[in-house]
Amino acid sequence: MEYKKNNMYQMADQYKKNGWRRVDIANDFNYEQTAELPSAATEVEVPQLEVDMTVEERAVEMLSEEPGEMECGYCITPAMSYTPMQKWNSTYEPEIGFTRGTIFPELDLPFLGEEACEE
Amino acid sequence: MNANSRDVLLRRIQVCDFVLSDTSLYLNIHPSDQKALEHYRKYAELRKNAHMEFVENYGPLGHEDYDGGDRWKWVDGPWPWQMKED
Repeated sequence: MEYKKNNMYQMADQYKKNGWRRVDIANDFNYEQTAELPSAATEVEVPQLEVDMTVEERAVEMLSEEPGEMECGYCITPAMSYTPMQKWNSTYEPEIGFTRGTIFPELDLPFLGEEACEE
Repeated sequence: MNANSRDVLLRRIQVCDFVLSDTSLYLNIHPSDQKALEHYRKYAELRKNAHMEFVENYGPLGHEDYDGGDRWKWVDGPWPWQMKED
């Protein structure tokens, strides 16, 4: 496992050297801080795959894959997300929903957009 | 009963359309959610009434609102996207 972790750090360094940035929607994933997965990602139910690997080992394998090539010429890693199904709760009054762009308060989130790749 | 103004009815239709559209997205993944279906029915009814009231008072909102009469009223502006009469 120690070797795998080191390998992960090496891959991360290589990614950073090339100006790549990994974006995790569950949390900010800091390569230098920890090799553990972000807490939010571990709270959701991950479907059990028929693969005899830990989540960490799978992360290492994912990092060692070639990142996708973007049209803009920069490379970023592909993303995977696990998201719960929406449930019907309260909805905004129509006029409010119209101005907010959604009738669902739980989807009325601030857009803190960042470019996934530089430039 | 005073008729609602043209602007009020247009706005109501616009807002209802948005609510219906957003609700339909939810229903696409929850086709049997009764609360969502009820919500859809409610605003579909509101939209239908607003649409009927608009057509009765201000003319067709689209060509499909042709009333079967001897005049193609669509050309008798203002068109729906002309928010203010000049």
